[in-house]
Amino acid sequence: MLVLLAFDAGAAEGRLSIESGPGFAGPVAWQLARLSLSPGASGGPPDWQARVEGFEAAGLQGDLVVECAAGGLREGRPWCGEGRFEWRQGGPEPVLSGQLFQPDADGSFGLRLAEGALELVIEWPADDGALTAEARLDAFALSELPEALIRRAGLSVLEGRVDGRLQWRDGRLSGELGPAGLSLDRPDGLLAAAGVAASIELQLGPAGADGAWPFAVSLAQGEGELLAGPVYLPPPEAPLTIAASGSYRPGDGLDVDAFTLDDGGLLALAGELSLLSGPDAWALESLRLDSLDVQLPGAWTRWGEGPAGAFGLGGLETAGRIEGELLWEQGALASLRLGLDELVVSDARDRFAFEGIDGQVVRDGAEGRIALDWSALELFRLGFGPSSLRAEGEAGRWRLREPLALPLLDGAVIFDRLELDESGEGAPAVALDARIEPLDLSELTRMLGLPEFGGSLSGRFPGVELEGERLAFTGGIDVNAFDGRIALTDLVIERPFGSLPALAAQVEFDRLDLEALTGAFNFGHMEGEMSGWMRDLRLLDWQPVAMDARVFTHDDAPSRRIGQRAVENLSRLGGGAAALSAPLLGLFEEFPYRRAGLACRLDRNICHMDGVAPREGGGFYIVEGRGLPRLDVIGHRRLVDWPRVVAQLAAIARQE
Amino acid sequence: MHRFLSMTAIASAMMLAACVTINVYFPEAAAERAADRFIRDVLGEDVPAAPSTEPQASSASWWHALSPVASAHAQSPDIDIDTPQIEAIKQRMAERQRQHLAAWFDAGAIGFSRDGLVEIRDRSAVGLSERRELERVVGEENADRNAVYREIAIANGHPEWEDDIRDTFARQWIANARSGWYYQQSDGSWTQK
Repeated sequence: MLVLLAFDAGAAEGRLSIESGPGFAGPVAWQLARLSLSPGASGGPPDWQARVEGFEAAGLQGDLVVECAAGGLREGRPWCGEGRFEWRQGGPEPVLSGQLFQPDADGSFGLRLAEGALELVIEWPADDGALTAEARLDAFALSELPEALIRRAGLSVLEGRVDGRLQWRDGRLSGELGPAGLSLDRPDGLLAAAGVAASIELQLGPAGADGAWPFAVSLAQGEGELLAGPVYLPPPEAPLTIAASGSYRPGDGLDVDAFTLDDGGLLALAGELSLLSGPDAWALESLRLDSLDVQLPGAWTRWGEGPAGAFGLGGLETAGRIEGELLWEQGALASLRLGLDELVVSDARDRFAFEGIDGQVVRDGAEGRIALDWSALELFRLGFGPSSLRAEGEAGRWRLREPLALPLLDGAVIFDRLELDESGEGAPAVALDARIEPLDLSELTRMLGLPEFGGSLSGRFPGVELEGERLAFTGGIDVNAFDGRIALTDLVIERPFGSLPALAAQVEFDRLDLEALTGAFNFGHMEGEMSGWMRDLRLLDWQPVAMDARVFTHDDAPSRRIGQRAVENLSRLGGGAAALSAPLLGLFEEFPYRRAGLACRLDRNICHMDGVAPREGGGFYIVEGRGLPRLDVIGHRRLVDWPRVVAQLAAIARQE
Repeated sequence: MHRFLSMTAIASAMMLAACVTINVYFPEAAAERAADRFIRDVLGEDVPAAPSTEPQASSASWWHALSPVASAHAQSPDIDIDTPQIEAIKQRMAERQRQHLAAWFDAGAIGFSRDGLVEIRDRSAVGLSERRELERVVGEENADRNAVYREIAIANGHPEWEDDIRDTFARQWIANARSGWYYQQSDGSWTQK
């Protein structure tokens, strides 16, 4: 064990001096070691000094100085009843110092640090035996450790107190440690702990013939917070326990043959893993989870909340259970099976909610299979019924095995094709074909809290594409309502679940019956037919911010009449337009009209108004009368603040 | 002679074509002013005014008000960001700045990235209880910022200006940063202001 490359001993003037040049013993190396022994005064025990320069162990470098006032050699081994030692690293102040003492047992050597909070007793080996050592920690403050040792462990902060006992005997390290108030941090801040109390049991060694060290460790954390990247674990309600055993190959890697993790019954894992040691960090070589048990919502709150928050999904409400198994090899997922049981996932901002998800997600090599059923799905206030998702994938390309139908009222949204390609770099590419089977509008409008009106809605979207956060629809939605047709095309939705969702579309109205339309929206009575458009409509946060809108009546409609209240509402909407022939208003309930229309080009919060035709002498016709009693509504203001238009629409909707 | 005529004709046609081509250049100075206003609203009142890169800009406001040619200025391309939706995001960002980001900038935990976003540069600069919020809050801030840059470009009728607006904002965030805050150089390295 001890190899002295150079040895020089001499005795002069009753003083024994032993000096060694560069040498090493196991993991310990030094440049110069010197031991000198002087006879004690008046026959007492001799004093001795030891000095080791250029000492290097476990990446620590420095000089070790031991001065013993009363001690000596007993059967060729040093002992000391009173003395001190210092560990220096160039600076004037020692980074570590302590006292030497004589333990009860003969042939042993004691070190005392931090005013007795750490005692180390070394028993010199019998003739051919190995060294035995025992450390006792009594509320030892970790801040007493040399900074270099803390840095060497890859930490920037290590504080707290430790009780416990560590023993080195027959090439085997064992013991129990109980850190309390433990705080640690790394320079990159990715791994940290605060106020942690735990109990640790560990065993390491003896090293086998192949140089590997068997180990077994168990840990129970009762108090304190832990942080690993985005995962933050608040103080546990029930202890978090980890047990692991395996072998450590110095300079090569670590094989954990068996490990279990149990986070108070919320998350339980069991399996094996191996790590490879690299020049800077450990890398995961393989991981096998034989069992994975996730109890929601507890496990989500502790383990999932943090990482999900970084993706804008903070505050998810969850329930149910997930169990499964997993194999990770050579930097990739080799196989995975997850079973979902009565899972509930609900967004805090009411954007989506799944109820009662049951089923399996299976991945085996490059192939994958998903079979999920859920009892209800709510998406932006639309309540869908029970559905089944059957999908399969190969090499990162997923597709539906059978159409996915989301029942909605008396109809459904059906995905005939849904492909997800995650084989490329960056966000997965999604492409789909979907259609809306006819829905009854009166139920749909009631569900959305809109004024109720009858009709049907259907749609076809062949070739929808998702690129980043931009969902571009081809095809469009057809609404048959008010005896006419409304068509939505060129739909684009950006950031549907993100910050400031946006929707762009082209909307066309074709011959809507005005009597039904004005009745449904409580606008007053109007007869005739209306067509128009909202071109380049853009909604932000589901509110219009830009559009080129125009509606107009058809001259060939059989009956064209407008009632008093509709006149008033149109006048207000037209930026306070004046109804000519106002005195007649009170006398007649209804007026025949030739044509009517209103346009608003919304740009940067201003509505650029126009009517159905310019009027000689200024302004524009919103309603151009016909016959008797003749009534014209003339607009004069071309620019109207959009919020004012919105406020007027809201006021109209509130009218009794 | 024929050749000369045809050459003349082609040249004339090209000149005509050139005359009717209207190039709308990105209104750098206007964007800078708009970004500066927005950023000062978000960062709060105790932020010192950013030194403008355009020397005339500081005098532009009174010049604009007094000069009879003010209307000509009004016709030059402008950048408008005062829509209610952008305003709502701005309020949200200002609230987030007060609650979290200002202290993290002070501590050096986060900095202004070169692409107009916020980046985590030193987690260990904030305590454990704050650090758990870092990823989420920075993620939300950047989602808001990306949406703002894009929607300003679209609201001004030029979606293709998104990158120019992002670059302008990136410069103005740094110009308005308090001293001691970190920002990213064009080569990706961090500098303390």
